[in-house]
Amino acid sequence: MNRMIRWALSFLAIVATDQALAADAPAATSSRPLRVFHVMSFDSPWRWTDGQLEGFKKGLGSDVKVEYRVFQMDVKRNSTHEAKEKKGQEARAIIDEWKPDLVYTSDDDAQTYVTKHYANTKLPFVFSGMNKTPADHGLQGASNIAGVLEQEHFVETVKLLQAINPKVKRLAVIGDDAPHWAPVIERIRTRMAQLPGSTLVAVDIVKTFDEYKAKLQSYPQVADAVVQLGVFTIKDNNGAAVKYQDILRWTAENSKLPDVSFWIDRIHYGVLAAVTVSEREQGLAAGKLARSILVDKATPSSLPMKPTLKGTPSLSLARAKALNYSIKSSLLLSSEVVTAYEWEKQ
Amino acid sequence: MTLGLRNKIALIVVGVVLTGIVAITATSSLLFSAQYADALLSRSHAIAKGLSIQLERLLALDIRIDELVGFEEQCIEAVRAYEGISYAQVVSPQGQVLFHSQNNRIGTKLNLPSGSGDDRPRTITDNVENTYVSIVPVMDPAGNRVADVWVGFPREQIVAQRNAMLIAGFGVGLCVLILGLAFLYFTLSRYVTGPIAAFSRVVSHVRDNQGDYSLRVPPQGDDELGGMMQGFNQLLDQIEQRNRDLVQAKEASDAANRAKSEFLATMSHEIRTPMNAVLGMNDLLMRTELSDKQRRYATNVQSAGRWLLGILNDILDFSKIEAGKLSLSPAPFCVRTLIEEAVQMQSEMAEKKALDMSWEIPEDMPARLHGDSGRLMQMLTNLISNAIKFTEQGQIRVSVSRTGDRMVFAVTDTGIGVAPEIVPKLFEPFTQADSSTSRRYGGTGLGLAIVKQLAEAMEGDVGADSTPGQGATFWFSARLEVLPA
Repeated sequence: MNRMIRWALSFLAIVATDQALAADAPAATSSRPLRVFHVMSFDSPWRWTDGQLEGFKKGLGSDVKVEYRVFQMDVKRNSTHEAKEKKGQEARAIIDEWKPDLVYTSDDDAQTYVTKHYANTKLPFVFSGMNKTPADHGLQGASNIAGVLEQEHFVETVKLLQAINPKVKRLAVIGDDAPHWAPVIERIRTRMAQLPGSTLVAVDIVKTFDEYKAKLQSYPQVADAVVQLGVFTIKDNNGAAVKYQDILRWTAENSKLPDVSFWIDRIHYGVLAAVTVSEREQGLAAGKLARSILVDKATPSSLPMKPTLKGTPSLSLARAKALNYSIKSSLLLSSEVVTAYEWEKQ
Repeated sequence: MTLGLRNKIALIVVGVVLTGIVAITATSSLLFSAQYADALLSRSHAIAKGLSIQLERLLALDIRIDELVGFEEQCIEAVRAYEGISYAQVVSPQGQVLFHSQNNRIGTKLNLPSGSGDDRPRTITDNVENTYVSIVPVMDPAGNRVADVWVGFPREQIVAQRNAMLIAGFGVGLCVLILGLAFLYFTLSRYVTGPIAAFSRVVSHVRDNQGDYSLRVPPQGDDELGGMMQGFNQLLDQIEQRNRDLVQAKEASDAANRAKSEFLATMSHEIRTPMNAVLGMNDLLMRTELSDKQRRYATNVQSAGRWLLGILNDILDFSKIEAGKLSLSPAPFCVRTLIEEAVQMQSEMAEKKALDMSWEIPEDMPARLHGDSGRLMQMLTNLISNAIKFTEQGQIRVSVSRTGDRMVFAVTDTGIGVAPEIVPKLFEPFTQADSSTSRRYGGTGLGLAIVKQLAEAMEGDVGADSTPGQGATFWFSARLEVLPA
């Protein structure tokens, strides 16, 4: 009797569930929030990554109901190919399991280890913060991929530095061995032509902190200023990763040369000046592309891949004081001014 | 100088419009100047405030005001960006110019105006620079006033703008006035003064060509003037028609009058012939042996007959004159003889009424004249017989005088006289002073009319001077050629 009752109840439950699923299926498709899976090459909290996601949400629009899921590859710490590949697999597994409506990837490693695997599938991808070209990542012409290129404002940055110190003519570029710097260096070389009277005296890729220190200390003999790319994968003598914040602090406290970079985060850590690529602008442009795909039903391949154009002049007043620079009022008024080093705020 | 209607209207319009232009332009300029001054003050204050905010932003970066570099560029940019601003400067509380839109002014020391320690924005007048100045304080993050931003603009600019406004206002107003006057002149000529001029021409033609009503005002529009012109034309039509009717009536009347005169002349002539025969036979009869009774009857017949013949002669003369058949027979005559005979002819009748008759001829009166003495005699006897008729006592005096080339004959009596207003009527045919006169004194009423017509035929005139109850003087004049004595 009890078995019959349990069987009957089970039958009713199955029928009810099926009915419910049958009834809810179309409704769930149309009413459930859109799923957006965000793969960060780097980590959070960080101005660069967090700013991009904030801009993306703004660009997609608050009228669109979205369920976000964020995955951090954290390539500052997972800097080897194997580590990155492992994080890429994890991200892909989540994609396959969670079945998002769109994947938003930021910066280059996410393209190499995640986006490239879905090229020409039905799942739409939108990227931002890509220093390399789409062709470098094998994404050129992919039907399901759209995105925003990240191209640093090199010429404007150097001109900003020269407005602070008109004597700056010779530039030395330094960065770690991350592959995404190669196209950046290439663009710097190309755009030097737009800076008559200025010369590129050194481009150095370093792997260790000691090597970095040596280069910085040698630059005053050959250069007037340093262009900081990124020092995220620098190792100490024991092969352990050195925090890029520590490297930049050392630089601020020891380098006698003014330096520039292209991201606001570097300014907070003591780099003197930059016309920054706005992480928020990058994310905002990507969000608008996502809206075109999800809301306006545009084909990703129909959306052009373009860099953002808006740059923000930024200055570290703390570093300027350390270098004994008096910055003109007009520059201070037209720039984002960081008055203190980040480590002093903590 | 006489102004035409069009010029009068134009002058009135010019006066009104000019007054309007002056009033509007002056008012607008004053209001504009006030508003412009307010706008400049607001603008300079906003610029000063903007510079102050920029300075405070820089101070918020933990930079002291004396550590700032290059803020004069902001001052220069402010002056360059906003037209009409004279200068912008940042002044320390001690009066030191820290930044200025003119580099050579940086570092100078100012004499600070009273109230310069005030932390509130304010406006002052800088008499040295002849500017209005907006002053906004600059506060550091601690809330201390570390400087003031001064932004000045020239006072002449307001005057210049007001003058420009006045010139522009008057210029535009005068252009509008000139165009308006041209339009008014054209429209007045086309619609008002043109039709009135045409109307005036027709009126002048009617005035200068009496009786010619043939001209008409050309047709105008359907407005008031057009209606007036049409009415005037209709009036001319009516006058012309009435004139034609009057001419026709006059012609008919004249024809009837002529027929009547001819009838009277014919009848008088036809009656006078047998009357002369009757009087002749009666005269012959009276020369025969008659009893006293028969002689008295014959005498009565003779008297009545002569009286009737006189009437017939008057009627015949009047009829001849009316019919234009009267002709004068001028010949040399002696004026003294004429008057003496005239008096002599009437003396018997005067004596019957015991009236004293006399005549007077001035010494300078020419003795011989050339004229129709028979008609002159007829005229004199008419006046003398009238005087005798209307005078019961007193005297009758006949005189002659010379006035220019005319001789004036006058008969003065002491009779009943006549009212001055009745005098003109007395010279009309068949008219006496009143009906009772006719009944009392008899007569045809043609005597004076004949005198008048004869005087006019002699290029003279007639008249009477009288006061009722105090006698009268009846006179006539005639152009008579003076002959040598």
